Amino acid sequence: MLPRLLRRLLWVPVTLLTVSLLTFLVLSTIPDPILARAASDAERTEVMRERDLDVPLFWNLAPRDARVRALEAWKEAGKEGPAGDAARAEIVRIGGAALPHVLPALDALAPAERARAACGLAPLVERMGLPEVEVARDPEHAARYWLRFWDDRGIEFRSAAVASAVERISRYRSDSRAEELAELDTYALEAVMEAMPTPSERTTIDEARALVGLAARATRRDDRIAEDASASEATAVVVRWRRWWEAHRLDYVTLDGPGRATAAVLETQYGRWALRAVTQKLGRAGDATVARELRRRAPLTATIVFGAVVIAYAAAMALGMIAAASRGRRLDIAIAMGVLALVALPTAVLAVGARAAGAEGIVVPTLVVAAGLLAMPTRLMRSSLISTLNRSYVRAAVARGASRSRIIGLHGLKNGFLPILTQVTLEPPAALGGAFVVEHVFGLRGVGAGTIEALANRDVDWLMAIALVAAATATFGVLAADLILAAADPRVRRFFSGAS
Amino acid sequence: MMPFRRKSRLAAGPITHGAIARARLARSSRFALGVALLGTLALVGLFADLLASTDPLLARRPDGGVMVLPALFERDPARRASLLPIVGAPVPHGAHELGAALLSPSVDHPLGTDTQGRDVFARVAFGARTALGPALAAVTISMVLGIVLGGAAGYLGGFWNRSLERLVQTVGTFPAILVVAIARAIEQDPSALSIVVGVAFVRWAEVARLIRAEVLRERGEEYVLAAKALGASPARVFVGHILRNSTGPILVSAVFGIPSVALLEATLSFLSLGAPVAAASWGETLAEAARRPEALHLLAPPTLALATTLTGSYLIADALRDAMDPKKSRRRSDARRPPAHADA
Repeated sequence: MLPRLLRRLLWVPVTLLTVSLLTFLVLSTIPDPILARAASDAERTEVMRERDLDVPLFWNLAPRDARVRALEAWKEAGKEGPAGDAARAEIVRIGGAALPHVLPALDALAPAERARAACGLAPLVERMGLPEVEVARDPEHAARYWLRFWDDRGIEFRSAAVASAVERISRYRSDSRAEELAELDTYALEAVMEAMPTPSERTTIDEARALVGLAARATRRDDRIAEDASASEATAVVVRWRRWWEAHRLDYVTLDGPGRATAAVLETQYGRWALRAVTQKLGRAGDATVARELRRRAPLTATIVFGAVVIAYAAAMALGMIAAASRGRRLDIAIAMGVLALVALPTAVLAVGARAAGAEGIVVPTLVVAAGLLAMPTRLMRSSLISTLNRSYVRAAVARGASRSRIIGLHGLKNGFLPILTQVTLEPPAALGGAFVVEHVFGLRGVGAGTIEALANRDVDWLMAIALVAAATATFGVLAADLILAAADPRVRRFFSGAS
Repeated sequence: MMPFRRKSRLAAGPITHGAIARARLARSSRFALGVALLGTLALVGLFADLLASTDPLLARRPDGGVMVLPALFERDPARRASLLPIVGAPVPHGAHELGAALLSPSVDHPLGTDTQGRDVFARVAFGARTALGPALAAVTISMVLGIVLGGAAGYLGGFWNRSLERLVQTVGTFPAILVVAIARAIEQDPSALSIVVGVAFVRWAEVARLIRAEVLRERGEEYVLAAKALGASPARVFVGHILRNSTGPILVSAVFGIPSVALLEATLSFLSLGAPVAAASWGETLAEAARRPEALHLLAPPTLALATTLTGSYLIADALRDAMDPKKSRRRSDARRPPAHADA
């Protein structure tokens, strides 16, 4: 029994992984409504980045890191005209992170191109806070300036040096150290973002402010922590920066060997979602996390779903017993008709009717959902009871004078319970639809309302979470039912222990 | 006791399982009622264009001749405009035609109009098409898929059997409503396709599970061994023997499937989950009724249509189950007798 149980438990993660991959694949084919609303090309690019649409789905063999982007732009950077302007602007945007790749390649360009490309880097000098702005703008001297710059300072563009500099600044916060880091521009961004704390008290707010200031300066993304900011305001800024970093990280980071291998998996739509799901509690839901939003909404939906299933099955067992005891008679037919009538009325109609009659709260919605589930278990209970009642041991009991209630209650229930148990595990996914309807009609803020919204916005994090929670619930439900079945039925127990 | 004592035709041919089932169905009043209910709805859906339309059924041509169904046979709009209508459709309104909102039932609008001024009868009639067409297609596709996959897995056994078990369990964890809602969102302008694909994706697993269990059970039966010994190919054993013996449960599950798909479609349209529907749908009319609970003429027609679908299918499925149950050789009326006598 135990080995088999363990094997089944081991299959649970596999099942969930399959569900997540499959769901993700399907969700990725939904046309993005927010992307469709983007007005300009720039806005489009930004939306694509924020919604992970700029990377492949499952596998990214050629992640576009800072090196790839910089060298690509560098090819055009010496040219005249709008293409050259755009390439130079792109290198300036990538900033310090591009310098280790483009400056050593400066010599390889023809003189005229070299001058244009070098001049294009001039805005960087200003941003880094260096004094030689005029020199860098001068086509005569710009190339030489940058070659000398790289000879003098190339040694500072090393990740180990940057990491220790960032650590010093977050510890001591002196302006001169900040200037030092500013000279590295975006090259320091990775270390800055990694060191950025979640502000909670005075000291960490100051630390976060210094680091956010550096990041804002290098990226010209003006989102800083004000001098008098409270902890929660500061946290909001830091969270925004982290989200931005998640989408833009690869622009400023050069991947090494292992980094490239990790990026092949993580710098994909699925990888980013999976990372968010693991590190950020199932991902983002507005300003909160999906896990928090689920904790807020799921109890209501779970109460309706499981409450309805329990009520429906309890009622169905009673009705099934009565029907079986009076099979063929008027009561049996009346029960069959009554159950059919309840099921024939769609949940939506019952809900609208109950709502119009002024019902509120959670009890009536649960009953409404339960009504729609009643038919199947009632019929199942009735037929399995009837087949039991025709068995010879039951007839023997009748002959010995056992009362009808004893026969139904003891022999019938014991054998009729098992098919019901198998059936009940299949119900919650089906009851979910009913729960969505009653939530909608009664204006309850459960999972259903959230899902309708999420579908309208193609909110991958939320939909993936719902699919996974549903899958996990169903999987463990089936497992639990099998265990109970094994405990109740010796035949199944023998099958489980493998001694069939 | 003989299974039944019905004269002529049966006495001539061999008494097969199928013949018994057919005879039982022919006698069943539940089956007749169910077919009548579901058949009426299907006919309404099929001929919705004739029941509710602005186009006439009969029209007179300028040259004096009479034309039947000009909407169908006269494609040229200029010439169609020159026709003189003689007999119009019973309800002279289409499903998308806008008019005065929330009219009560009248001669012009037998079931009134909805909040957008569309004729409710036309909406419900065309809604039958939206509900039943995809349901039939989805159930058929999932049945074929399930039979092929479940049969193959059950017959091949071993690795395939275990893989199918896993797959069926995995698919079983997807809530149907979510799957179809996502399919609708993918489609953006939802048609019947999203329902068919979404439902087929969820339902095939149920059929496959049924078939697989049946195959596993029957594989060792003597008649299968006998067929094998006679040199029948696996495909022949499966189709000719095993599948034939599992027709009952599959058919019953398929008939139960139809109302559940129709209900799913109504639920999705009711919630406008995924994307709003363009086609007329009972669920959409119900959603209008939910916004105007005092307008009973909005609530009753789609409710009645859905209830008819459910009741009709349940009656048919019930009758089918009884008729195809090989263990049940007694008549239904025998059930009234105490079991001790009936089993003799």
